[in-house]
Amino acid sequence: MNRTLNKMTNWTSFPSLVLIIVLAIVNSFFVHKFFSLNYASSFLTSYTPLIICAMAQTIVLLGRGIDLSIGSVVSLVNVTVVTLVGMGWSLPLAMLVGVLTGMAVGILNGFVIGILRVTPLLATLATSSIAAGAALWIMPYPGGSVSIDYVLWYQSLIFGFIPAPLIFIVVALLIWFLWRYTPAGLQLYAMGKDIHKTYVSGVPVHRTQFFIYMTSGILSGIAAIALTGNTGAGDPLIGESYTLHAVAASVIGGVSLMGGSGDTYGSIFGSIFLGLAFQLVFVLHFPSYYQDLASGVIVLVGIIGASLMKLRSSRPRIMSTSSR
Amino acid sequence: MFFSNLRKRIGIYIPSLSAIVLLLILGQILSPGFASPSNIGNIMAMATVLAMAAIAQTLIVISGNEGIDLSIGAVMSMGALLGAVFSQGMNENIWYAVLMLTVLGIIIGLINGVAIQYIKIPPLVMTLSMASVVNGFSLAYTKGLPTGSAPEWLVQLGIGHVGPIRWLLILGIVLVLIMELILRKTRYGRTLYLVGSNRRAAILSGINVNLNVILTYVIAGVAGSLGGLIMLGYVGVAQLEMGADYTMLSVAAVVIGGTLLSGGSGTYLGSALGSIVLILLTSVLIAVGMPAGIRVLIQGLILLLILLAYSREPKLRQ
Amino acid sequence: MTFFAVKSIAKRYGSVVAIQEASLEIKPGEIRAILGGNGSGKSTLAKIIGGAVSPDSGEIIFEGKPYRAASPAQAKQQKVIITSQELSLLTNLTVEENLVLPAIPTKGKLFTNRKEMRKQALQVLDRVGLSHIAEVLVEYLPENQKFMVEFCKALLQQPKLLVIDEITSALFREEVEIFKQIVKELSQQGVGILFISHRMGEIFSLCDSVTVMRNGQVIGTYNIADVNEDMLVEMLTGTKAKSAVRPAVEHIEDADKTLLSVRDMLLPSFGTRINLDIKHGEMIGIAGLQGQGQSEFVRALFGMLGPVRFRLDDKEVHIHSVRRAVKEGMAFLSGDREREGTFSIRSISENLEAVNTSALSRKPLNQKELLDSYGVKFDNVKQPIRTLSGGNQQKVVIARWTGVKPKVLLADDPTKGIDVQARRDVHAIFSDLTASGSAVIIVSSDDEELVNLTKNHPNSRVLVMYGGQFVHTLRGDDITVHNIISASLPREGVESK
Repeated sequence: MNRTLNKMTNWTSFPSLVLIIVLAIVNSFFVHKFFSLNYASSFLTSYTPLIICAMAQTIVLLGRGIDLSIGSVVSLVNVTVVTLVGMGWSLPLAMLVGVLTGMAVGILNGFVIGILRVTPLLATLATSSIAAGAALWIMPYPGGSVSIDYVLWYQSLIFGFIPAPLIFIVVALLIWFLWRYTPAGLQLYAMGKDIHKTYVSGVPVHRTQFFIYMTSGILSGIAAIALTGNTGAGDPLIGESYTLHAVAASVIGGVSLMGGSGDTYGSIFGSIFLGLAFQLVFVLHFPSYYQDLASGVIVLVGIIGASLMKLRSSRPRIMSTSSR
Repeated sequence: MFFSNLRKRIGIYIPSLSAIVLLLILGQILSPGFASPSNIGNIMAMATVLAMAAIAQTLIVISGNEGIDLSIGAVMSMGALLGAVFSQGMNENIWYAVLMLTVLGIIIGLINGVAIQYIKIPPLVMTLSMASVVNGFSLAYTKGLPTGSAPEWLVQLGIGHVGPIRWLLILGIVLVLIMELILRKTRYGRTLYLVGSNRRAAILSGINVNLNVILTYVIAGVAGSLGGLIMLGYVGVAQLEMGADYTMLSVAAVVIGGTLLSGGSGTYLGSALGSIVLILLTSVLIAVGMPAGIRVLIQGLILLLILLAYSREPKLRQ
Repeated sequence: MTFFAVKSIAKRYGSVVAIQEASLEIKPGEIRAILGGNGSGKSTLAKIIGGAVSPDSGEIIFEGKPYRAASPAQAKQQKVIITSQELSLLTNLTVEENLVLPAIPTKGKLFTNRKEMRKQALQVLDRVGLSHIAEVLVEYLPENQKFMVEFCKALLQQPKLLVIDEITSALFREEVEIFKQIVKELSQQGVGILFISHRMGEIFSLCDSVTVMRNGQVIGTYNIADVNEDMLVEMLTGTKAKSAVRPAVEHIEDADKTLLSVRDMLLPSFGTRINLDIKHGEMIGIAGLQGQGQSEFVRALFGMLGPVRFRLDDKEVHIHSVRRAVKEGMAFLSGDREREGTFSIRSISENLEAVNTSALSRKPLNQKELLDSYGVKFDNVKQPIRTLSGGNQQKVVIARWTGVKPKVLLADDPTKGIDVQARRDVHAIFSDLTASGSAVIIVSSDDEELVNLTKNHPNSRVLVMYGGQFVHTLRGDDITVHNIISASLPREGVESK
């Protein structure tokens, strides 16, 4: 019993789990019928895109990378799907093309970073512009729509008790499992910790990096599909905040920015935390023009808090000897 | 020997200079009248605004530790919006606006610098997060409705001339002179290059790295907010998030200018030239009638190509 | 058929020559020791064989065919396995995960097969008696177990050629015995073994033959039966042996004034406490096997490992940071120029002014004079420092300190990888420094260097460290390479850890 308790508290995602329980309780005082299926369903319709984007960012962070293009990919896939539907394509086909678009950007990232060895920060900054520009070109102004059936389905409860957005999260989790439970997962964690030692151990690091970013692109595409079910329309700037929030959610969820530590459950908890925090701001009736500031401060405080905790637990020596 | 040294020192600017010439020619071909003095004046003016953002970006990149400022766009937007509010369009209030914006810039820089140096948050994440806070702050302060307007003197600075030369061009040249002076002749500047090229060796040499880096972010914050004020003068009105593009543009300007993103090297002159290249590029695209989306796409593509040339990590196999 | 042969391999990193020319050949089942000091090129050779470093020229033959490994993965495919001196283990993974990392077993070609992973891990851990640590995160393992795991990782890949780079230094005696047993078994199965080590006892009890390397070249290859320890030491250093060793004396009753007085200073990694008195103008050499606390000692003095206090120049000083140490007149010189010394993309001039820029005086140094007096060949002080040779770069780094007249110069293997002439120049600089009253404390893994520095210096000692303590002091005529090496090695019959 003691051993399981120990393992639990040492779990990197544990602090964020505690955080959401606390925040959930706080929220319940302000939200009528907080602990109801209806509320959970409504919460998920809003925040599933963030959860999936956070999962994407986590996979990249675990490998000691960063994907700044996530938000732009969400925008791009969103406008692509809506535009295709507007041109008469069937929704499932449009969604497929959407995910493939996300994958395409991911492949571009993977190629530039994994094979051509450009710094991830800058590479994804550039591809973020490329994707954002493409989104703006496809749909300069918000508009268009997808079938009302899809929107209704997205906001419904399947079999009466499963919120539809959960399906998307499950799909994303399955993709995570494809990493976690295959050799690629071990290689990912190893690479994130020390890419050189991993290389020396015979792991194909470049190939793995390629797939990391490809996965991130696919997941961003899936997030966008979910988002489209929530908004029902297209908006070339819709994805703007997702990049930062995905990073924040991961950091709050215990994923290390230095790579090699954390898991996807942390990013899920971190996203739920952010969602609950944003909801709290909304429910406390802050004037609308204060909400962005409040969200921004929440994210900043979350990141600072998580980093402080990390500092305290590792307590590195300022200058350790280079060779014992 | 003198010429070989000169060649080496100018060599770093050759890509930008050739790009400027090429783009001017290209622009003139695709849109006659592009290379006219008045249009060039416009381009130089816009470039100066970008050059203000490039001050922040250049200093932060030189400081090393994967330094980058993703908040510069937001800070510039804030500078424009709040500059309009603080001055209420009246020349007498310009000094008040400058003072308040400087204070705000210092605060933003301090928060960034302290978090990055003491809490060890990577610059990327910290400045990205700060951007969101600053944007939120601008929105909150103006309650979503930008008020006030650009004072007359500021507008004069933005679009006026003295003789055939635009005020902003003069400002741009002054900026280059001041920044190069700071980087080369002051203790801060010389220390900055050392801090950026090898943090550990800098600490071991007894250098106060924390002070140097925090000071860098503070200067960046002030450059950003005052840069927003200049932007206000140039555009004439303030809008929410009007400085957003400047984040990526300033990064591109710094890279084109030959400053290595690993830190410890680079010049402001390079970033200034890079700013001119980027504004030229944007202008050519506008002159040809490219929609905003394609423009942003091409800017990203160009940055990617530059990165492929300058910003690759060393091979794992030695 | 040639089993394994290295033919005229050469490698340089920029201006530094790692391997000038190396050739050797072994037969199947042969256990060959590779003996060499710092800068001999042995580790680089291992990395080239292992595919992590590409040679500039030369070739390798393995099992009768040309051998080419463009990456460690390729080397492993051909069953050429290297263990790393710096450990190739990932601290965030468990022991079993690390063991199978080069070839993770799968269920149905897709999913990780944890059962098989456990089985394979236990298979190899059983041989060394470490089955109980299979699930432990490597970060929690003590050093000796980490090295055993590194060894097991190599075993698991079923090598045909095994290169072992300095594993045994961290192992306990029982573990060394197990290690030797397994190596002998491998040899009987026809596996070729290259054993890079400096431990004479093991070399003589385990190996069939020995190749001696020095300064990037192979000096010679011999059957183990044809040589003895003294001969090998001679070849390693190029000098002859001398007389016996005197036991340690820490407090000196001399008339000279004490400059630095250290009491009860903690060495964190070892938990030991150091006492030391140093007089003005003393040249102190600190010798010993790698990682016995020498490096940690000087770094602790410089304030790099946390707050320390000692008496400097009759004043009690509290060093809470490196900046404080510099202000008090301490200087630090590292052998790791790349990471801790040079601002490689900056100019000579900037490198020279580095300490002056911030800490001490405001007067600029007379750069030309300083550089000339140290024999640094340069065109222009504004040229990037990396255009200079390694030795000259290090001289510039030294000059940055000597120019501000430090009271104590701490040096951690400062002449690593520097050519002989530059090394002599550096030694002269150190001597001059002591002549003006400063003390120089120099850690070095090159015993010959310590001898040269201290032999003719009136106020000098060589302190030998082991396990975080000073275990021997050598003075005057007793300072010889042979005595240093003898004093460094754990003596037979004495418990090593």
